[in-house]
Amino acid sequence: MALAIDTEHLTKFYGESRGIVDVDLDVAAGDVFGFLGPNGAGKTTTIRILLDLIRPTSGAATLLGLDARRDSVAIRRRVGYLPGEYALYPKLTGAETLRYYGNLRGGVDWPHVEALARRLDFDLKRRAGDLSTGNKRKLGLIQAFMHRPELVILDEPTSGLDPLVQREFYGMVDEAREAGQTIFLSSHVLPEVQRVCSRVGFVREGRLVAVEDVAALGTRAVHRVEIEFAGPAPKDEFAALPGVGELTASDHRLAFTVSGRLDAVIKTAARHEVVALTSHEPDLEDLFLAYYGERAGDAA
Amino acid sequence: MLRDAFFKGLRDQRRSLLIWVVSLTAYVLMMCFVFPSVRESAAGMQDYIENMPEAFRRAFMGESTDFGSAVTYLNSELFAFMSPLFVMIFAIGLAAAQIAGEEENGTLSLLLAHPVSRTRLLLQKFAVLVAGTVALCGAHLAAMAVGDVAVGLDLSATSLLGAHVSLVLLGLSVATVAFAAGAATGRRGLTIAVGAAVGAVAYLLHVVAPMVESLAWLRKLSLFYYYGGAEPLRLGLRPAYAGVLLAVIVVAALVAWVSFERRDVHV
Repeated sequence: MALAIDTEHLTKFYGESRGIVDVDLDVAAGDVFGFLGPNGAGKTTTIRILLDLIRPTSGAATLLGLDARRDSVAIRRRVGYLPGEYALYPKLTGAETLRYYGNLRGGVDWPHVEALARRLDFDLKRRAGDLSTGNKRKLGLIQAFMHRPELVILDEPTSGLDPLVQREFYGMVDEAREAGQTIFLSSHVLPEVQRVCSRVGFVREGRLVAVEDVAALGTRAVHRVEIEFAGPAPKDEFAALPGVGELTASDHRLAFTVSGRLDAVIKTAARHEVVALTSHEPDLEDLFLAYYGERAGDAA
Repeated sequence: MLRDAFFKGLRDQRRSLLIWVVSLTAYVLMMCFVFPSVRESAAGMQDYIENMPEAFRRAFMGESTDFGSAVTYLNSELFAFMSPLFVMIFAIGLAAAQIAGEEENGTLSLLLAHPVSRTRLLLQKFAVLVAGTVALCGAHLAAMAVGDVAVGLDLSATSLLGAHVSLVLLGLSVATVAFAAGAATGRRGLTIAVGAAVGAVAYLLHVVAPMVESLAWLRKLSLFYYYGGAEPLRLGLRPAYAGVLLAVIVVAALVAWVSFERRDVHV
């Protein structure tokens, strides 16, 4: 399958300080790829190299079969990009801003722009200087999608968006996938990546430490579960279940982690009278420690 | 007006340019209209002028001591200091608003995510600088032409035009060095500082160097020397001198291009 993004040993140092080290990234055309990692891990650095905004210390990147440095203009014609941080021209209205960016692309399908604006409930007539953070992000999203790019690169696209708009954004990503567009998005929120992406790459301390299918993640993910029972806590029953670990028990209460599916835990719990059950999504660090403990330890 | 970065750049400057054009035009017209009364009292001023230290007189008036002549008067009142000052401040500000301005405002990353090469963007931004400077000097020229006709200054069209070409080249040479600093670093403050320093040093060399005989050669390091010093209106356009200013512009623009092409864009 053709690769939309292909990097080889991509490395960037800012003077002495580490940006990214030896990142080998393959994103297949048509994928929705999540680039997941804590802040400062090197996500933005990688993305800015892809857009030729910064130059790698060593290594190379290919987008849509074109060299990120030499063919940058041709690439940018076919790519939509939403930076993580950006400013707009405060005096231009939303419509003027998008006209300007559209003109830089040699014109843009205006009814499509209006449709995107309606969809995100964005008022094109307001001046960019008067927009809230969320509305600025909407304008950025419209700008990234308006020319129906083959590849959309989004740096933390949902930060600052309220949940309703976030859902609309997820819908846009789903449709883009159906239309055969490739999406590459960075995030530091696992549930978001699980919701929209088919593959996920974990970045930590500048290194790409793992790439997984999101479907596989679901069964391997770690949950932290707490159950409060009406009667005494049936500690031994749970300790014997596959995937259960770090079990602590008090009179009526059990707390433990589960890796993989929750099915056995729920069915075992169902045999008892349950007062309360909580299950937390694992946070990124938990996930790393559970699955990439050794490798992540090496990188750190 | 939002067709590309050049037209967008002009659009961004329309208010500022209008204010500069109006104030400079008013200043030039005022100086022209005051001339007849200056001419009447010029005879009385002659002693005073001739008793000035020679280096000072040359710095502000050039070779001529005849304040009753329109050319000497306009050189001294406009071209020796005020007009270059106006044009340089405007052009340095304009230079700072281009690459460095977009970068510090945070709009450059998104702009460069579009299919515009850095070379093209830099050219369009530089074209804004050139167009703005030419427009302001054009207003200066228009105001003088009006003053010439209204007051009867009897200026020669060739020297009038030549002096204004020199003014454009002086403003642009200072501003293009500043523009290059902005393109190389993306820092607006530095852009302005470099422009101001180049302009100030050029002016000081032009005024101070001739005062000390052994340092007189230093004046040739000043952009003002090639502009025509205190008397561009008398000297008109001298191709070799104008060529030096043009060369400074070209070299600075090349430095801007090479450094902007190679470096990382800041977030």
